[in-house]
Amino acid sequence: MLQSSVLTLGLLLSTSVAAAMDVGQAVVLWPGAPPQHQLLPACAFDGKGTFLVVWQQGRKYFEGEDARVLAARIAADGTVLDGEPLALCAAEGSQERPRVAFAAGVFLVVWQDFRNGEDWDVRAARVRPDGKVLDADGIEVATGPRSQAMPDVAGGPEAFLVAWQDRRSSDPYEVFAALVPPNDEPRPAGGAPLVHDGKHLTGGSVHVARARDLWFLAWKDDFAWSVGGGPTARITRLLARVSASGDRLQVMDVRRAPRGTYGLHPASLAASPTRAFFATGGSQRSVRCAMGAMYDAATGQPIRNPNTETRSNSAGWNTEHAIVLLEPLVPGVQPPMAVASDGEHFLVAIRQRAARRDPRQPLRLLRLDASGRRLDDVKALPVLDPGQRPCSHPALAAGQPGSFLVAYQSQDAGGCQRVVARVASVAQAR
Amino acid sequence: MLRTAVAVIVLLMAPLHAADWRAEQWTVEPFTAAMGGGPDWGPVEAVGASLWSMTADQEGNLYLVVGRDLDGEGEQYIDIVTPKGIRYHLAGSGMLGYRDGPAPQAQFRMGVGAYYGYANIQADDRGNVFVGDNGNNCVRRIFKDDGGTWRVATWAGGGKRKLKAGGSCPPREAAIEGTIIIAAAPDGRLTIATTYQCYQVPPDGQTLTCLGEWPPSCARPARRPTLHCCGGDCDRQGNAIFVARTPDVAVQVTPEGKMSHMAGIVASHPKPHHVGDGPPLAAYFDTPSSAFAAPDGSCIYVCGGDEYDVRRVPTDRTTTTATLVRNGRWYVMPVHPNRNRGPARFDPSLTGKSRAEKGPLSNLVVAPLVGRDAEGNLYGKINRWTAMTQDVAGKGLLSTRVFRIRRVAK
Repeated sequence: MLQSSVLTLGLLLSTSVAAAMDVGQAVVLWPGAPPQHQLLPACAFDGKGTFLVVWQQGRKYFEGEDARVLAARIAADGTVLDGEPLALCAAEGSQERPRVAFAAGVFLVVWQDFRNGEDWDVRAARVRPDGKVLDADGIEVATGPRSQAMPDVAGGPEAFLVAWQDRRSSDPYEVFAALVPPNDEPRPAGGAPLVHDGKHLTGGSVHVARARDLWFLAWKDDFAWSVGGGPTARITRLLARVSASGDRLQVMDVRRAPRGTYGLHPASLAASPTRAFFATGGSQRSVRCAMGAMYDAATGQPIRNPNTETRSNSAGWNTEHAIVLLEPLVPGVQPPMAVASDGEHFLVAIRQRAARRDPRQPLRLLRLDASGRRLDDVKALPVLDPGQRPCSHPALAAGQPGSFLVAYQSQDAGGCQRVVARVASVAQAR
Repeated sequence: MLRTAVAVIVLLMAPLHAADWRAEQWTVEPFTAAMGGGPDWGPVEAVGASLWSMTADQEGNLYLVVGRDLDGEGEQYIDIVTPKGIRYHLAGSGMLGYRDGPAPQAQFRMGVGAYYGYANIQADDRGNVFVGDNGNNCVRRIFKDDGGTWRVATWAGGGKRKLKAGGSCPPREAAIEGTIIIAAAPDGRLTIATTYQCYQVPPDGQTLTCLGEWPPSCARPARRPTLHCCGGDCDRQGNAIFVARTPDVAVQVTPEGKMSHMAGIVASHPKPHHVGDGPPLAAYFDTPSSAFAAPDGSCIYVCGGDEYDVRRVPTDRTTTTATLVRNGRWYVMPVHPNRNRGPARFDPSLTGKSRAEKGPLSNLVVAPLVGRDAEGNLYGKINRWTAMTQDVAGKGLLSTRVFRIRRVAK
């Protein structure tokens, strides 16, 4: 009797937990798409009821196809609003790696552009929530000599912050940024190197997120490796706070971000009004894990991990600050991850190998509250996509409180990558 | 002491042309795999994706095998670097698999199941690029068809016929098993090294012939010769070379199909680190992971997996091997170079003797070599657990993780 009651209670609890994560049906963004890969989705929300999903259509091949940037709007209930995707640019050459943010009534889509046939530039286009593209073929954000590439964007009250990696004046990439006003007439932004303590920030793979009255910036700097080799031979991941005064950007502080062994895994960054959350993966002795750390927006300091971890110092992480996002497993996390915040929760999308000899790689979700406390069991995260067909590269955007859009690549029967999206409701946290 | 004396005597007896290499000056410079990451393609030094192996054609194009790159948006590509220095994807859909046809839709399993994940690539003078596709037990050919479209086709292997020495069959009917490493001659003749046997496919691709097992001198006494080949290449005369780790040897295969053990003693534990440079068949290589041939056939360059160096091995088999030290010159190391490893710093101004002789010089840190170009320049990287990239005295770290070891013109 007692056992039966316990079992019933357990079932009720599990139902309650399961109900707390309501994941909608997957919708294909462009059902009539030609047989080209759709890659690297990114998404943003307009604050009212419309998501904009952007992606790279096709891939550049030598003497072959080019890539371009497309977008589609999705309503808050998951309905695709555009039968044919919005073409953001019709220029020659390839346009790739789009990112998107929303501020002051418009979306800003940024991408890397190879239209000059010699090197990469950063361009951007504004898109209204009604689907109108305001800047045909894109405005110049950074078109200096040599390559400006892999931009990211975050909104702000008066301007978007666009950050990218730039080789215009030095051999290693430097981190550049520019403010792009949402409503002015388009004008070349140009950008400037970000400087801290009199030194230019070097490195690449830049991410930005808006928190409070500033932006968080995350990137990796291989030049911070030791030249002597040995156990110090690791990529350094860095985190900075950036503020704006007029057109001038100031790096307030720079600190090391956690990283797994070697620091090779890509990172993700999201922010709420008071917190920034940095997530990345790592590996040690064939164990792949995912971990993150929460930072206070006001001070920039890492916040003490509120969770009780069963392992300490996994893969070299200091769990005083680092939060385990996926229990270290063999096989484990498959990068990249995605993170987003609706102000009350942080949601993490992680791809994980199902088992050592199982090729499936399901996409899973993990909720954290605003303090970083995990709301799901890291040993059994809710499944977003079971991975019957290969799926990867999740992107997240927070919608109305408790609601997120997850866009990701999913392979179709013909072997093409397709961008699909689902709405996930996380309002009923246990 | 005796070995040093032998090496000195050998050097004194060397003909004039063999002395030329001691005057060579090499330097290091950025190539690709930008520090901090970067786009998957574009100006080669700005590309973030790393590479596993590379080769060159006579037109000045470089062909790269790209395995998995965590920052990239796919894996299993063949890339091309044009003479203008732009790196593009040439073939591969970005996903593991097996699919022939148009290059953008092709799928590979390069390095899958291979010894230490090695996969190599070769180009001939007729516009063909070959890659050992270990996970699919075959060799794939990348070529431009009559319509100007780049395509991928299976060139050899993938069949079920197991051949013995002297046996032959249509290439695609043959079963090629074990780690697959290839070497392509300028005329398109392909030599295929597997763990137990060696094969050749003539330029017309009509037959595959089994050359037999590896030379008995490559095996320990009373053992079957088993070569875990990691690298292979071919000189302009058509001589194929392969290097294996366990046993630590290099073998040569002539255009006529004659196999010979050309360098490296077959050693067991404890490793003979007291053995340094010397006549090729008396030198010891510590788990060599890659090898490339000088285009003129005068030597091969062997890179040691546990040595972190580049060794010059003459093909005349009588003069001495030598080690590229960190001032970009060749020195004969009296003890194993592994004992001379220093910081990953390239300093052309260094002079003196090797570290083993209490001097400031030590070997140039490279592991592995990833390829060479048509001019004979070498390309290397440093395993991420060893260091990050090459540090050049007075200039600092190179801006790319894969670097060119360029022979400075005299």
